[in-house]
Amino acid sequence: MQGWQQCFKKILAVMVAGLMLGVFTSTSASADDDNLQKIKDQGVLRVALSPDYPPFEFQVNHGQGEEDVGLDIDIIKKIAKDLGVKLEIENMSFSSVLVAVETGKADIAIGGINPTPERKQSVDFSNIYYNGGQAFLVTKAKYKQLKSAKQLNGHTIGTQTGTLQYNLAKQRYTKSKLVGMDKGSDLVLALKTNKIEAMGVEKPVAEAYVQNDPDLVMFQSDYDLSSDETGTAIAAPKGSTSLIAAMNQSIDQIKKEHLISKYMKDAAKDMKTNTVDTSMLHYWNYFFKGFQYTLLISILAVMGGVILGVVLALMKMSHFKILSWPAISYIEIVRGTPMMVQVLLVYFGLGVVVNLPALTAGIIAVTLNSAAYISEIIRGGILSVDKGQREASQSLGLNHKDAMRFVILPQAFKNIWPALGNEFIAIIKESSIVSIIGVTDLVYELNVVRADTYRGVAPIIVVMVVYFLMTFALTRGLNYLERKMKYE
Amino acid sequence: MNEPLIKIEHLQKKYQDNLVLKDINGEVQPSEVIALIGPSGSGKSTLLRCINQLEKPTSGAVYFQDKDLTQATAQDLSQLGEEIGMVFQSFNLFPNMTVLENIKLAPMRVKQMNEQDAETTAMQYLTRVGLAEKAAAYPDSLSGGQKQRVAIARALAMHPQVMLFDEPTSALDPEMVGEVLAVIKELANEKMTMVIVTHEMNFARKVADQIWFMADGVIQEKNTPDELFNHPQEAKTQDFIQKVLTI
Ligand SMILES: Nc1ncnc2c1ncn2[C@@H]1O[C@H](COP(=O)(O)OP(=O)(O)O)[C@@H](O)[C@H]1O
Ligand SMILES: [Mg+2]
Repeated sequence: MQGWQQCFKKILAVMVAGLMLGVFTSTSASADDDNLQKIKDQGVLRVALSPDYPPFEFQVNHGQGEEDVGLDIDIIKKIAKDLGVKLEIENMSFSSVLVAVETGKADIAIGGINPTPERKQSVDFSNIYYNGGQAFLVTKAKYKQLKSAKQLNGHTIGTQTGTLQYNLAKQRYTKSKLVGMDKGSDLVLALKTNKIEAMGVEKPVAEAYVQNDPDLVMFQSDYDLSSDETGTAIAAPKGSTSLIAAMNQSIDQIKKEHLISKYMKDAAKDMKTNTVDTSMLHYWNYFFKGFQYTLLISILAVMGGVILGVVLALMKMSHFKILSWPAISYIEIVRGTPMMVQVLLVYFGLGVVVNLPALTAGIIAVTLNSAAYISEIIRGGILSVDKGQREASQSLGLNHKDAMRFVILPQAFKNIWPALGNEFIAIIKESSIVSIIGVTDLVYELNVVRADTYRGVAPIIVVMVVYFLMTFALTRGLNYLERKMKYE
Repeated sequence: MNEPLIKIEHLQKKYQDNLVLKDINGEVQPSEVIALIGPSGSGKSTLLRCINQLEKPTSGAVYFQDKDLTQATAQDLSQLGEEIGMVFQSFNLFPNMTVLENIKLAPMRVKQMNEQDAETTAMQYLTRVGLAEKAAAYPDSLSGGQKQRVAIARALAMHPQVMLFDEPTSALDPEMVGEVLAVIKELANEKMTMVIVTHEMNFARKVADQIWFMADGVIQEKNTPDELFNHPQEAKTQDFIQKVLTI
C-alpha cells in the first residue's frame, strides 16, 4: 500500500512537471516577434472568435450552410486582405478565444474584446477599432420604474463574466448585486424571468436586441468612458509588435475611410435576414449539423474508448507493476478531474506540441475520458467470466493472448453490454462540453441559433428533444440487441 | 520397466498456511489408468492441477517424460497443453462458440492447423463421442452428459499423451453418468494414459490399473483395484472403502 502511494505521487509529480513544461514552452514560443512573418509564410490569418455576439459576429443561414458575418468579420477580412493572406476563422466559445491566441491555436482573436488590464497581462492588443459606448437593457415592464443609469444602484445587474461591463458595473454600482453569465442570450433570459433587473452590454449589442425583441428597452450608461480600455480591440500573442503594427495600419485606414458605419450597416442587414424567420424549422440545418457532430464524436469516442479501455483493463490486471501502475494512475486521474478541464488540456495543452483542429482535439479528449470509464467496465466484465474458462483455455495450451481474445473477452463483452450502452448514452450527453473549444456539436449550434434568432428558450427545447431522441433510440436499440443476444 | 510418462517427486502445495499436498510421490506409466480416490477436500483436484501446472506447486517436481514442469517456461507450458489434456467437473465449454468451434480452436491456434484439417479432426472426435449431429449447436443447448462428451472430444483433438479427469461425472444427473463413463472406458481400451479423480467406485474398479487413495494431502495407499478394495492395508483406507461400499 505504502509503495503504491509513493509511486502514485511520483507519477503525479511527473505529470505536473509535464504540464508546467507545456506552460513554459507556450509562453516562450509566443515571445518572439516572428508572428507576422509566420502568417505571411503560411498565407493564412487564423482568427479565433465566438459567433454568438451580434452585431460584432454571428452567423447567417444561407440555406447552403452558415457563414460568419458582422462588424468584426468585416474588419478581419480587411486585415487579411491588407496582409495579402487568406482568412481562416476558428469558431469557439468566447471564454476560449484568448487562450487560443496564447497557445498559438490562432494568430489573433476578435469579438468585441475590451483591452482590460487583466487581459493585457496575457495578450497584446491593437488600437481601438470601435467604441460604441455602453448601455443597459431592461424589460418594458421594468422600464416603468427603471429609466436611467442613475437609478441603477441597488438593483440586480447582469453582465457577461470577465468582461468590461462586469468591471464597470462593479466599480460604479457598489450597492448592486452583480450576476455574471457566459452568454448574452442567457442574460436576456434572466432579464425576462426577473432573475436580474438590468443587463449591462455594449451599446450596439443592446441596440440589436431592442430591434429584435419587442419586450426589451435600452438606456445609455453614464460610465466615464474616456479611457482606452472601454473600446474594442484585437488580441494578438504577447510581443507580436510587428503584427500589431500591421493591424493598426488597417485600423487607421478603416477609421479614415469611415468604414465602420458601412460595416455596421452590413451587419444590420444580415441580422434582418436572420430574424425574418426565427422558427426553429428554418434553422433545422443548424440542429442537424450539431446532431451529426454529436453523433460522430460519441460513436468515435465509444469505439476508441473500447479499444483503449481493453488495453487499460488488461494493463491494470497485469502482474507487472510497470504495466498496472500507469493504467491505475491514468484511470484515477481521468475519473478525478472534470471532462471540461480534460478537453481544454487536450486542445490547448497538446496544441502546444501539435496543432490539432478542435474536432480532432474534442474527439481525442472524449475518447481518452471514456476509455478510463470503459476500462473499469471491461475489467469488471473480465472478472465476471467464470474462472473455469481460463483454466480450460490454459489446459488446451492456448496462450494468454488467445485465451483473452477468443474466450474471455467475447464473454466479458456479452456481460457488460448494458453497462457499455449506458456509457454510450453518458458520452452522448457529456460530449456537449466540446462546444467550448468550438466543435460544432448540438450545444454549440444551440448557442449560435439562440444568438441569431434572439429566442432564448425554443432552441433549448429543440436541442433537448434531439438529445432525448438520440438516447432513447439508442436505449431501445441496445435493449433489442441484448434480447437477441440472449436467445441466440 | 518402461520409462514413466509422469513422475511426481516430493510434491508440496500450500495455500497460505494450509498445506494441502504434503508429500506426494508417484509414477504414471504409458497406457496406465490411475483412479484417484479419497474423501473430498483431501487434495485430489489440487494434485491434478499441479500436474498440468494450473497451480504452481510450492515445492517438489513433476516430470513429464523427462522435463521438470515446475521449472518450465511459459512457452514450454503452452506445449504442455498439447501433451496433457484435462476434463473438468464443470465441463468449462466455451459458451460463446459452437460445439465445433470449441473443438477447433486449440488445434488451430496452438497446433497451427488449418481450418479444414481442424474441422476434420474435430468432426472425427465428435463422431467418436457420438455427437456429430451437435456440431453446430451452442453448449447451452446441450445436456450435461453431452457437454462432458464434447469436453472430452475437445481435449482429445489436441492428441494429448495423458488425459486428466477431475470428477467428470459428479455434476451430471444419474441417467447421464453412463454415457460419459462409456467414453472414458473406450479410451482405456485404446490404451490412453489417464489419471481419473472419481467417486464411481465400480467404474474405478473396472477401468483402473492402479488406485491411488488420497487422504489428508498424502497418498495413503496405492494398489491394484482388487487388492485395494478387498485388502486395504491402512486404517484410513479401510474406513473410506467401508463407507463408500455400504452406501
Ligand atoms: N485456490 C485455493 N485457495 C485456497 N485453498 C484452496 C484452493 N484450492 C483448494 N484449496 C483447499 O485445498 C484443499 C483441497 O482441495 P481440493 O484439492 O479441491 O480437494 P478435493 O478435490 O480432494 O476435494 C481444500 O481444503 C481446499 O479448501
Ligand atoms: Mg475436487
